[in-house]
Amino acid sequence: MALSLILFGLGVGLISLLFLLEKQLQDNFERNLAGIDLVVGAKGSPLQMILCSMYHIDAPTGNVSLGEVRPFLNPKHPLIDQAVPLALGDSYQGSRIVGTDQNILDLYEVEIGEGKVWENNFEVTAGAAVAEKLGLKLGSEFNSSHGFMDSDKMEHDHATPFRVSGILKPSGTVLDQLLLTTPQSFWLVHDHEEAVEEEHEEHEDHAHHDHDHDHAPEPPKSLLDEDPEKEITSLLLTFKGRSYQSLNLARNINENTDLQAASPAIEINRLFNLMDTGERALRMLAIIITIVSGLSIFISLFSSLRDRRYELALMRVMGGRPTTLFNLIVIEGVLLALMGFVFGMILSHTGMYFLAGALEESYRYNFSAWVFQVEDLYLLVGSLILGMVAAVIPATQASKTDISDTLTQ
Amino acid sequence: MLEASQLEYAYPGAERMSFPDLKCNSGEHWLLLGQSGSGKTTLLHLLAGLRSPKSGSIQIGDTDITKLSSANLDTFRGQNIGIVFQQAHFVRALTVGENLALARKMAGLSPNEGLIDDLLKRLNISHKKDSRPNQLSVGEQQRAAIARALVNEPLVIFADEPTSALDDQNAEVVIDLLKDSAKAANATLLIVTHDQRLKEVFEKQVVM
Repeated sequence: MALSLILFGLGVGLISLLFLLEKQLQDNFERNLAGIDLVVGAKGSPLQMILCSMYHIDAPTGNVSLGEVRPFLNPKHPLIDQAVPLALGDSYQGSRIVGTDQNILDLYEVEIGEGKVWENNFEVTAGAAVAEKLGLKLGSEFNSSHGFMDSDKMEHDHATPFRVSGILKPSGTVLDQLLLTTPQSFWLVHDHEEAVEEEHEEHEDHAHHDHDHDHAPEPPKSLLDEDPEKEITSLLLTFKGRSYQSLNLARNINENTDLQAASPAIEINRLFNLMDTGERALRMLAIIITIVSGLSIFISLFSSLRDRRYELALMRVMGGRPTTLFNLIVIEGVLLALMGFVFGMILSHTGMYFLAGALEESYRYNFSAWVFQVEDLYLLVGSLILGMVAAVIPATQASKTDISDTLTQ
Repeated sequence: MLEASQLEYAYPGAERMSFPDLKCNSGEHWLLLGQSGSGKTTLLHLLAGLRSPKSGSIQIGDTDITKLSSANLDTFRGQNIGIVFQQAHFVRALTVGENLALARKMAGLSPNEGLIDDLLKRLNISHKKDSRPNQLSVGEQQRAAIARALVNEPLVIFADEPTSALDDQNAEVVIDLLKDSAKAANATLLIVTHDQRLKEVFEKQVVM
């Protein structure tokens, strides 16, 4: 009996966990679409570019020079409403630093919580979650590291540290997990390092150009006025409207330039389809476990009838009807299923609780373990029905107990 | 009142059995004596409505139980017939008190804690009310079984070989308990046995 319960709990728990994961992943992916119509960056895997530029969970496909993307940055572009530049590739204690402009806040609809939004080079505005995790306060200073791993060896050796000027309000978007600064800060960090070390190999993904030792905090120039040789990682674009030309823009970029353009909606859909196959396999497995456990509830109910035949006969002697016995056994099956369901819920939600930490690391979102969804309700109804079905045959058998034969045995 | 006339029964593939007529008035104590294999347990099961006879009638109170539908017979049996089996059976997962309450519930009667307490007190096992049946001694189990037979205040109490496994002293105690309990409830008592020791204790006897 205990074994059937554990099996049942495992099956239910696995299904519920899958629902939880799927729902929260989708929610997170969709919330972070943020109305972005197109991402433009270096040629490579479009999905990788989207994951990196919008979800910050993959490495960049490469960098593009300002000269190449300058047309999209022009506010007079007929199709483009907003163009937000991203310079990626550095981190602080595993949290990504993003060189961008303040338009990204409008894009994700995030507001400043305390302090002020970054304006000057080496000023950082931290996302709410990352500030809490790393213990960053207004005025905190830190040095960035090259790459996305938390490693001392990769720490940039530069004179000017980043300084936290503001902290964003929590928004549930990916910005919670990011450290925002100016794109120019990126260039300055890397230029400085070059000057000091004269070392070039590690800088493939980064802007590295003329020596420029002017690190004094001053508002950076508009990217339009910067050297066209400088590099950024990608651009997030929103369109003015969904015209024929705007739909063609992506194709034009991909066919006629060295740049790559990808639509987040399409790529994320592709990703969901990819995940769906694996998820379906897991869900099938969970359903099979649950059905097997239903079968084992059936078997244990059935074999317990032998042990309880005197008790069943006794209940008939005391005035119980065959239907009374039938109902008793069905209730037993349903109660077992209910216990299994509760066990499964505990499993899936505590499982999610422990998974959430790991998932937050790799996906940069907050996962919540204590969310209950309508799917859980379906699962409850399904469990109860399974318990009932498993009990029907034993219950029929019980209702046919012959009192006199049993008692004279 | 318990009255049986021209009862006949046949097990599948066996010869038809006939049973002696009976007429026991309310409050009377009867002994049904017979050797093993004489069909006295079959007769007891017929009288208690656990089996249906091929022919004949069984009158308990104002009701001919052979004419009841099976569902009504179940309820009637629960409410009006108390049975003490040779071996005491209980629902093992429940305490003695809960077993008695279950007996009332199964018969469709309201739970009556006061009555259950009185009954257990009279049978001297009050202290076992919250114990599981398997924690009771054999003697206590038999008392608890008697309590359950009486808890619905039946018209008729049947006892199947209540003394056959007991020594003289304990047999006397059990018979006294049964007689006293039946008297207190003003119920008809019918003891089915092959135990010759009981011959002297009961005036009214049927021999099969």
